Amino acid sequence: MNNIKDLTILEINDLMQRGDISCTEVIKDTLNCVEKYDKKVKAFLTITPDNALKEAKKVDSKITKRMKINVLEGIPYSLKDVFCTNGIRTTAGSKILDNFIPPYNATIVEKLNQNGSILIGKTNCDAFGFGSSTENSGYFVSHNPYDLERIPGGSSGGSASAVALRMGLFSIAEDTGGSIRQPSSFCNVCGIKVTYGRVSRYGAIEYGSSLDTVGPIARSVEDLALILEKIAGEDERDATTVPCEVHNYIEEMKSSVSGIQIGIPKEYFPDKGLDKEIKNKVLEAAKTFEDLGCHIEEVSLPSTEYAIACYYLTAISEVSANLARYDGIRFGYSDKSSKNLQDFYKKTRSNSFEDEVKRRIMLGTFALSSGFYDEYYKKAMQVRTLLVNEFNEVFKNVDVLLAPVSPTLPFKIGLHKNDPLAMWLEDAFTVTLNPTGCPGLAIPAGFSKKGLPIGMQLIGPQFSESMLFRLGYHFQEATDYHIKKPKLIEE
Amino acid sequence: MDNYLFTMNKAKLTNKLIQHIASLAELELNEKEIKRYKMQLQDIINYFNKLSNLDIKNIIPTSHVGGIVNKFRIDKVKYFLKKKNALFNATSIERGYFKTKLPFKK
Repeated sequence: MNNIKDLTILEINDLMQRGDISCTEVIKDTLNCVEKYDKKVKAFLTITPDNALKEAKKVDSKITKRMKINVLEGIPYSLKDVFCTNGIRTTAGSKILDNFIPPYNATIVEKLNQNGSILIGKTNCDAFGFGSSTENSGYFVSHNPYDLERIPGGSSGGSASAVALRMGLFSIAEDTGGSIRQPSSFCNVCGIKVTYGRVSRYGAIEYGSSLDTVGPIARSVEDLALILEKIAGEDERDATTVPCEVHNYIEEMKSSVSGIQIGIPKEYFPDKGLDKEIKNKVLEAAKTFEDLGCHIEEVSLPSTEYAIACYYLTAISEVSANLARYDGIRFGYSDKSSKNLQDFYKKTRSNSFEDEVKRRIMLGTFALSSGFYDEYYKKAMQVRTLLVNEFNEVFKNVDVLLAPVSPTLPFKIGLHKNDPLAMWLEDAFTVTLNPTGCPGLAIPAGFSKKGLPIGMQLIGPQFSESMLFRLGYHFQEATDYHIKKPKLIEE
Repeated sequence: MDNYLFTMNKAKLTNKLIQHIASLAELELNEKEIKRYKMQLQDIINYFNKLSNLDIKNIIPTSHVGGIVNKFRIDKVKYFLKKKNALFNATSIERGYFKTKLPFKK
């Protein structure tokens, strides 16, 4: 038998069902990885080992009684710390929620509980998801498993790092402007930003409500497809979920990709600003798809250069409204020294919001304020229409798009310390998607000369997850980038 | 509100404007923060100004891409938080209510 660490969800399910390994062994192996690697990468804010072992015993007793177990049953996973977990601290990576213990579960947690998956802990992220490196976390910076001096990406950096180092088979995260795809790409794992409304956001701490999506990070496309099938669907507690059929992704994924039209958007391959090694690897991947029978053609999305401004204006405006709820009264940090209510609000928020959180709230307040609304917020909404129209137009000619995830390789911790705008520009190829609602699948495309992971993304029209998985699956059948693991594990 | 702060089409951030925005956002800034945010926010706003290059006068704004309008369900109570749980995270409670500082002067 292979090492437990390298098994896929289906393989573990099969071995457990046959009694060849126990769920307790799987959980112990995972907790062992947490013990060994988490002090190096600092992926977790909270771990829940006792509960995980208790749940594992329940699964084992079912197996002993020869009862059938669900495909995700007994599978260890982590949650980005932005999902409410009943009775387990939930911080969103911010000090303002340092002591917050939710009295209810997010829908995603309920669904995974129903499926019998076992939570092992909650992962670090930029506060409220505001960042691309975990450096904006109110707690600590997580590290890249391939080079500890570099960032793991963000905002879901803890989740991607955890999955790469076998601290759970998968992690559930949130992608508002690349927060699943960019860290996945930086840690050589796979992640999907689903179509807006595909997975319930109920109980997910809000960032930008018209952009937020919930999705999995895992080590293979096959695992992602299995998980999404179980977590997607309409939820009456999230009115933005769409009553659209959830496909049998695993079944559909295997049909041939021959004849699929893949567009290469030229704006995502600029001569300046895109690392040459990344460009070459993604174009090499295009070749692989061509060998698999796909047709490749260049396409154009001319408004791409305006997407960052459009995205950030939308996001920060929604942030300023969403974060107004942190008033120190019903939950979260609460200032003790103030005398009146106004002073109390100000002190509570000023003493516990992180730098980037304050920056985004203020920018959003500015963009929505009288006198500037038309010039900033409204213009961003109009550009959003342009982006949507361009995507609709391009998908008349091609089935999917292929692009890099990030213009740069995972960067050194501290590189953008005093330059928030430079950090935002790192998101050039990921934030473009969220205003349109379209899904994007990030998968490994190779390594740089220095051994740093390079990721690519497949982008499709709304609700085309099935086709993205199909392409990703066949690419992973033809290549072995996703199987390579960090040296930390091999040591 | 100081209207003169908003007369310029393209925002030039001043200390006063930063303080005004902070106050609208219920934040309190010290001198050092005002200086730093003024610089950083101006940088970002200048970047946003690139949207002015676009001719978008007749484009209808999109605020949402979900395509769902007025989703209804039967208004039936299925589950609600017990009072004890709803109050659990509050720092200050009294007789089963959230307790706050006085919103008005006596």
